[in-house]
Amino acid sequence: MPHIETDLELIEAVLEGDTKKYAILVKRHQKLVFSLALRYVKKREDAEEIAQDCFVKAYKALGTFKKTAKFSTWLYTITYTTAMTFLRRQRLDTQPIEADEAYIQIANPDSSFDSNLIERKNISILLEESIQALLPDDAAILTLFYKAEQSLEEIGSSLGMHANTVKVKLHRARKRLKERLKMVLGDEVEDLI
Amino acid sequence: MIAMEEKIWSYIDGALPADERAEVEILLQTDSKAAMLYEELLKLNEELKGMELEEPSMSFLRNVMEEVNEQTLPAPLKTKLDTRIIYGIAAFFVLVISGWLIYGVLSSPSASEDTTPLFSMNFDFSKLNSVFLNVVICTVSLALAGLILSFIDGKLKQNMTQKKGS
Repeated sequence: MPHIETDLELIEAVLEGDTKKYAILVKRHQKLVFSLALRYVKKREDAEEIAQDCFVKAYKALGTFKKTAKFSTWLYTITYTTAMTFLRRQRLDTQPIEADEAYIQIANPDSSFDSNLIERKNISILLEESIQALLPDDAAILTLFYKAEQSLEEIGSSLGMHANTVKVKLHRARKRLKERLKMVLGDEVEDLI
Repeated sequence: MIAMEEKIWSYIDGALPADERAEVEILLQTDSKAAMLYEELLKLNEELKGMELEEPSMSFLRNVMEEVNEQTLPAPLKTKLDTRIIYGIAAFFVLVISGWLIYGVLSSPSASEDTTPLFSMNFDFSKLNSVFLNVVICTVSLALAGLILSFIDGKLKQNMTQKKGS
């Protein structure tokens, strides 16, 4: 069975001059970094630009990476700051749909959450769309908690928040998500969640 | 209800201490509403765990690596902090302080004049200007030398890393 190199081993190899190993690191983390970037920008091209910028920044600063921390946590911190810089630069209106507005949108028959969507009964699409409608930080916390398997402390460190704040935001995000899914799916929610 | 929901979420996350965990387990067995909510949250939790991550375009990795290859090879932090420079700075300070003390001893009255101690703290301020000037010149020269040396050191290391990389 081939030996799967850890992030730290790959970083050591890159620092010793084997730059090709960096491609393995990128491949390993690209989905999460890209998904995280998508929590802050709507367009895939923008998220890709952020993710690419993040990996280049991480490469340039690889020598300063403290091996006591997790590489992924460090990478997510860079993703977050890169996304913030991107948003500032682009001056995009990234005001998320607040919970109350979202409910109004759901109740509106002309909204994107129409009957066709309910008929699809595709929970993963619904879930993704519902997460996208949350506040960007809340959506990012959900992604980091469930997909990056980061602890509250690690998420706090990546997003520059206290662990308790992350905990509160995580609870709020899940509550809003559940309520949103209930509003969209109505009675069918019992079957789906 | 909100507090109960939060507690159940914490229970699902495995973030509750043993006593509170036992409390929630009793609640789930005795309260049907709580049990229903637990089932609902558990399903949502599973959905969240199983959600798909977005994949970037096929060219993403190639684009990143193309840009990365244009960059200088990152140098480990330890090579940036050369201990020799730190020892050099420490030696400089030791030298200056020692010089100052020796000057104090030598400029104090001789031992035959018993009225004053060997090391006089009564500084002759008339000599201050010349002494001060000397110290300033020494400090600036040494700091400059240190900076030049560290710059040369940095350049040599950079060349070595680039050679290693290529």
